[in-house]
Amino acid sequence: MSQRRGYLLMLLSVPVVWVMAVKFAGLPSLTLPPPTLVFRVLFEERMELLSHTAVTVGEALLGYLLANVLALGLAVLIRQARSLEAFVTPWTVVLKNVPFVTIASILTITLGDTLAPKLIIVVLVCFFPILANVSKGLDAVDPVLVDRLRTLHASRWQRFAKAEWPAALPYYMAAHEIAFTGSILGAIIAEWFFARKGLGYLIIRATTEYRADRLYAVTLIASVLAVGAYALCRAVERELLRRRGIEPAS
Amino acid sequence: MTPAVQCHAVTRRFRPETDILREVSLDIAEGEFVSLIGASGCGKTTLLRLIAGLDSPTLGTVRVFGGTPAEACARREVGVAFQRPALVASRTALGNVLLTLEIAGRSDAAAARELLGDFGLGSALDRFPHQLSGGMQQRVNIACALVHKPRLLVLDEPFGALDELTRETMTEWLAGVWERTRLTTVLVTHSVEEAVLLSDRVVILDREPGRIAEIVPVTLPRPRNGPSSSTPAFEEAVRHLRSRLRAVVGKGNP
Repeated sequence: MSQRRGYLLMLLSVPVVWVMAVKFAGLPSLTLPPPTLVFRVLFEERMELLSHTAVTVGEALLGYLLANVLALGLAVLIRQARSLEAFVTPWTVVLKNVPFVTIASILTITLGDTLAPKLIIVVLVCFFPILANVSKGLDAVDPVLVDRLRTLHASRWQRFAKAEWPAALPYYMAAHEIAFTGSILGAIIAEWFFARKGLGYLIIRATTEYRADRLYAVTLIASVLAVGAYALCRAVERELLRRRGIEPAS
Repeated sequence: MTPAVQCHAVTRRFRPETDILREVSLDIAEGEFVSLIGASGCGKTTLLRLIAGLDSPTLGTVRVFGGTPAEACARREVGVAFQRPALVASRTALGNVLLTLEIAGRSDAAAARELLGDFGLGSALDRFPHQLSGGMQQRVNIACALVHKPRLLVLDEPFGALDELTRETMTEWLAGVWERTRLTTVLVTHSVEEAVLLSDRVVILDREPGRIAEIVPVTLPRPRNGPSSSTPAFEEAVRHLRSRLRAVVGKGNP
């Protein structure tokens, strides 16, 4: 079975399983709403849902862009000044492994309901996959090619631009599959803690109000966003690499 | 006349007490083709890297066109091609050759096209490395090493990874290229036939430590590619070089 058919089958299976679960589980619609009810919520509350979705997407995109700038900058800096690695690595290891939900709580207490804690959480989620992949990609440069460029008296910048960056590009593209989808997740989690806007806030509100129909509607929106982000990354990656004659990194 | 390459009492020590090369002295005249041959671990590639400015001797000096190898590289007088083609996967054949010119600060795309055309790659200009055969990749690789018109060409087993038949074809092709350019060339090879076909002199290196055991001149008339590579004189030269090589290598392997 081709991957495309697999995805199609999954998309068709979800409503079927959902309808059957509603039919056979015998749970009230308050707990397990039928698809029709959820789609009615999606339609009737579309303006409100859309505005909250826009907030989450905005935070995710902004944090994601910031993470790109920081992670790329740091990866390149470490590559150019190897001595920095010994200083930076302990920080990245610690920050990466501290559960970011606890960091989110601390940030919320410290910074309140502002954009800053949400951006920081999104950056923390996106930063490390990009940093790790780009660093790995820069190290994957062909040493024979570097030797060739050295005999041509290439400058450090030329070696980076002509050999190291092209080697890192497939790894950088692969990082987006994790980082871009992660940015949506990061933004929603950040909104959970303290927010008055966004899908995370809607989830909390729907839970406290026992609005399972709205909770399912938000889940659908968040899932579509995350899967859409993943699909977009794959499409852009394939197209960019195809133009450069490179196979995407696995 | 100052030799193109001068190695004087060159020693390269990688760890204390381990000399990969010890007191190697060798002069290479401008326009001369010299091959380095010997058993694995005899320091052929190390000597080549010293000449190309990719490494520095622990003791002794290496001069290229009167200056240090690094100075020769800065003047873009050195072209190198290794066993594994040093091609950028995301660049076409033409793009890879142009890369040399971009680094050298020149913009002569016509020269790059012409060179690839001369190398029989006129129809493969827009192909990426993975779309080329091993032999074609190596031709692009050598074009990359030649396009900026260096005065010294350094080749490290450029055909070592190719199959026997392609290797023979490529060696004859390189002989033709060299006949046209008459470039000072240093070649590392394991192939006796390749060394005889291409070289003016063959340097046999001994190992542990790496040092020059013997220098065998090849006096066969040029051009040597094509039918001349199957003459009795050529076969005799191959036999002679092989026997000298065996004598050197065999000393350490009873």
